Amino acid sequence: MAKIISRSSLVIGSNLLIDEANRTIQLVQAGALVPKDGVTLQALYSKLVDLWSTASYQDSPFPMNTIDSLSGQYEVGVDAGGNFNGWKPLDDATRNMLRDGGWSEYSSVGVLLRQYVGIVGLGSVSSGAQLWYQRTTSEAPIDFVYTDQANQGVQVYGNAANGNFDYRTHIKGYCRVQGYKYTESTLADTAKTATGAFIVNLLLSNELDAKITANDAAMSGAPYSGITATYYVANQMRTIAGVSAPFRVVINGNGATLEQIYTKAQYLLRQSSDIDSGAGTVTGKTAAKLLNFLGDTLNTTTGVYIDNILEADANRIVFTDQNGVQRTNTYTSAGTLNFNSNLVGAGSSYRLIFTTGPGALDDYGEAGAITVKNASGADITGTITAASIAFNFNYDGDTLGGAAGTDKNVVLIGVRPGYGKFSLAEGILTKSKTISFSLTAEKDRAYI
Amino acid sequence: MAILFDPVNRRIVLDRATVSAAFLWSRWADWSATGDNLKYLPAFTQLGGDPLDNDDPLLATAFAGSYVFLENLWRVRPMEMDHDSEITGQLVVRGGGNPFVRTLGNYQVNTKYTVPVAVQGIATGGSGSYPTAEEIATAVWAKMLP
Repeated sequence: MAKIISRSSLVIGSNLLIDEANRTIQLVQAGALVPKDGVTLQALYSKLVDLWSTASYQDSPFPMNTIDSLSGQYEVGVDAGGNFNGWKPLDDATRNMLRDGGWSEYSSVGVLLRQYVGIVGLGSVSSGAQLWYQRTTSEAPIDFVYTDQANQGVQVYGNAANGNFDYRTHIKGYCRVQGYKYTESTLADTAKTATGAFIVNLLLSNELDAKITANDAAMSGAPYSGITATYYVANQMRTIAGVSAPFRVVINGNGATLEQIYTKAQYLLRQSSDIDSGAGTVTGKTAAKLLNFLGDTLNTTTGVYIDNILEADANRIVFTDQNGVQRTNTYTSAGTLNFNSNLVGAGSSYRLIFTTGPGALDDYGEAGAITVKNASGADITGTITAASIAFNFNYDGDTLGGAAGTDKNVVLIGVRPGYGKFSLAEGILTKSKTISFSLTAEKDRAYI
Repeated sequence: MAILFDPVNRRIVLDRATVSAAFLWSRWADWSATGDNLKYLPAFTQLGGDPLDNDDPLLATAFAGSYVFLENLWRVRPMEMDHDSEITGQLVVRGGGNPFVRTLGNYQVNTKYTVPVAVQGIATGGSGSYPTAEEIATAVWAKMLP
């Protein structure tokens, strides 16, 4: 079936029940009317006009008024002449079948009882998508009655006898489906400042998200279970590229890849429960987005920082601090030092040295020769404990071996007395995450 | 007392009268693996020492001759005292030259250089002033033994 847009599909006694005595209108599932698909307010209005053109209904006042069908403005319980009569939908099941409009419900004496905004989502959503909305910034999320794209009257006003609230200054819709990119939309997206008895479009759509690495079932296992978000009231300072910057949400990356961290963050934003690992309470489904990918670069939203990310990922993330300033890590080159078996073991030693230093007597071979430091400031040297040893280097920040942000020539030297001869390999520290230096030593047959 | 490696002046200062090339090579390897000594240019390279033929009983314990080359202007300096020094093994200087330098003080050091028999190839022909193979053979036959 499909949304009913023609009065001819509404059939008295079948899917449309009119109770003149109690002045109620009821829609029921029958014939062409499927509750999820619903019927447009304009079709219902037109059907009522048809009915009231016959003698059998003319002894009752006309139930509703159309102010403007294009903008979806309708009134129930009042006719076009402004005469209040108390007609109303029988129940919420009926109201939930109304499409493409908002409406006000009046009492017979003209009291506004209820007001519904017609939320109509624009865009395509994945099949079966369950969207939800929030009528105040602090309200718990409410699912739209039916899945797929939203087209539903949402009550934003109720007098004392009908909820006793007035939520006509805010509406926000959310489209968050596992495996898809998230969207959310507010009044401002369509240049509106308030809701009421009319259509409000929300820009809600989704598309497959290639950066989601696992399904929800995996979130209870490593590394996802250790990826958490903590919300703070006070600034949490983090140093990025030598600058201390404020953040209010800190995600523990748990040493996972950025894609895994993103997957867990997106999972959190679909939870009805508190996702704040700190002392506060933050409902996941209505929490602001934390992260998003632009290509392979992960961007945090304002005030969000991630601790414990992989070294290899340090240069494909952009942090936005609490002041809205985007910050990136200095480029950290990374790679591996490779050694043949003659060099691996106890008693061995390796060292990475700048071929030439910026000063006097600091070239390789001279007393002041400079050992390359890793991104943490430690010398790249030690015992050769494995055939491959990872290292990193502060490419943008290092000035020990020359000007910052430039390629630098280095020599890798290794020896294992009695096993592997002194050996040397030349190389270049470049702006790369895949630097590889290899050292191959002959077996030491002369050692005594 | 131990053999001293002076990387700034590139001197290997002996602490004993008798020493072998292999011993110098080994102690330098030990020294280079300590501290930040890898930052200095190497004092030695070494060639040879490979087993010749482990399947032949006559050669089971035979090894190719070992050569230790002094590199990068490193040199050996004897002890600072009058003494007779003995160096065993093939200790040579890359590019030629004397492996030893004088003591700093005014001492008399008599150095005995004991080189084991080793197989050596002789370059012939080419563009340099090398003897021909026939000239070498003639010279050997003409050699007057004492």
